[in-house]
Amino acid sequence: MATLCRNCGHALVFEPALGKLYCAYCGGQFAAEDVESESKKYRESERVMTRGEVFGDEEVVEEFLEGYVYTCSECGGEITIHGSETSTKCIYCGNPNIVFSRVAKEKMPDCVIPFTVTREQALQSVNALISQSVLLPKDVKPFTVDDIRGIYLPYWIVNANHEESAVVQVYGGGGMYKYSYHGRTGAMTIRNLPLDGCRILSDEISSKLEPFDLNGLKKFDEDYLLGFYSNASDVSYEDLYLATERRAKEIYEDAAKKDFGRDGYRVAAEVHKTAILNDYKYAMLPVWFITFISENKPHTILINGQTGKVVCGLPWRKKAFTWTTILAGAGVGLLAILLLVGLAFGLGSAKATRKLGEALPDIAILVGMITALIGTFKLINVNKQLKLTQSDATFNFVKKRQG
Amino acid sequence: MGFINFLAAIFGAGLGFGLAFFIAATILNKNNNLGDSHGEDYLYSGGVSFTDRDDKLKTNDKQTTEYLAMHQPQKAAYPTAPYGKALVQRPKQSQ
Repeated sequence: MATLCRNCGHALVFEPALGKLYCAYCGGQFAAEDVESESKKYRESERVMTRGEVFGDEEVVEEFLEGYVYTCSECGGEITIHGSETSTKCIYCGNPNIVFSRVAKEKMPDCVIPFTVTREQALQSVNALISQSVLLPKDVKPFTVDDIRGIYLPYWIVNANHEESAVVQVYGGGGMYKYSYHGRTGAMTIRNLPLDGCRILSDEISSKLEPFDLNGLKKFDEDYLLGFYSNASDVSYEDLYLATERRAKEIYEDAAKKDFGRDGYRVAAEVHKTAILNDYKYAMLPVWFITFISENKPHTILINGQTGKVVCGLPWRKKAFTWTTILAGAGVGLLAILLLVGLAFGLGSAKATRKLGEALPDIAILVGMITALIGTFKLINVNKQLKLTQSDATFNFVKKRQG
Repeated sequence: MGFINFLAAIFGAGLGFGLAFFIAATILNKNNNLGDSHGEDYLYSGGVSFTDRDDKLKTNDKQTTEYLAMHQPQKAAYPTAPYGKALVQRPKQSQ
């Protein structure tokens, strides 16, 4: 039996709005730590089988049918799970199923942050943000959801020490093109840095789900997974080290910037050592994934299941953007031309006005160039985020799950 | 007068399009680029404690190399996580 209601025997699911396990049939509510899944001890040694093992002729079957086979604890139906999935739903009876062998004994996570954002709240906040966004393609407004899934992602919460010695080139101070060299050696301690343990998801997008409030961590109990999907960690020590090193360097360099009191600097050469302390923790953190299709491209919106932070780049109409810029540019340009011509021919005869008229062309071209440059950086940011949202890997990570 | 008008048109158009592009890109970035931020540094670190500062370095490579050689980070003298291609497991003491 799976985790069943003490009152009526129906399957329980974790309800974020209550923070408790909930029986949809009789309305019973139970704290996750007070309920023990009776099937756990019988099923934690039950391993998932490849399709090849189930159907025979392994090579042929596995070439065409990827995934593993697990048996539903409720109806005995055959459940297909992919990669490192640890909880899913049965497509036949709809009941939640946990792959105990992947979250038991030495594979059991240390802690979990339960979902606090409900499915409806996730959808509401996305809808509200979409209604404020601009230049959306016509197929996005009104917003149609393709799929929404709550998934517990595996994270490693690490403590690390980072030491770095760097020679830094600092710009400015004695002329625009002058720079000076400085040596800086220092150390930094990193505490409770969450790093995602899912190889398919890019670190870039998962790190944008931060911050998680780690005060909300609870001792792991598989009952929190009921009704949600989840994955086990599939990263190597090397992956974890490289992710820690990258983040540590970012944090160190941002902190070092403050020592110079300005942004205009570059690390010319450096040596560093990052060490992950041997007290890292394995945690399951909650994320809502909403998929939608726009202009035949897949998009995935991520929402932090604890704080409600929405991460995505929304698609935009490039033609409309270009024409808006051209028309607005023509309007502002015309005003600027009239102002420049007027000042050049002495709208005022005062000496100060004439001087301003002489300086204005330089000011105009400088302001035009700087604003265009900043605008370009902003547009690059928008496109970078959109590319992450259009990632096929993230879309398939969500869509491959059954139920 | 014609030349001045021509210059004004060039500079004015440059300013106009630059400004319009900046405003349009800012609005797009604000409304369509959602959640583009990491956790702040202070959440994970109490800051860097510098053990050495040298503000008199010259530009030559020799001095740079010497500085880095003199300040090599030391090998950690405490238990650290394993390294390699094996999948990450919980540390033994937490199992």
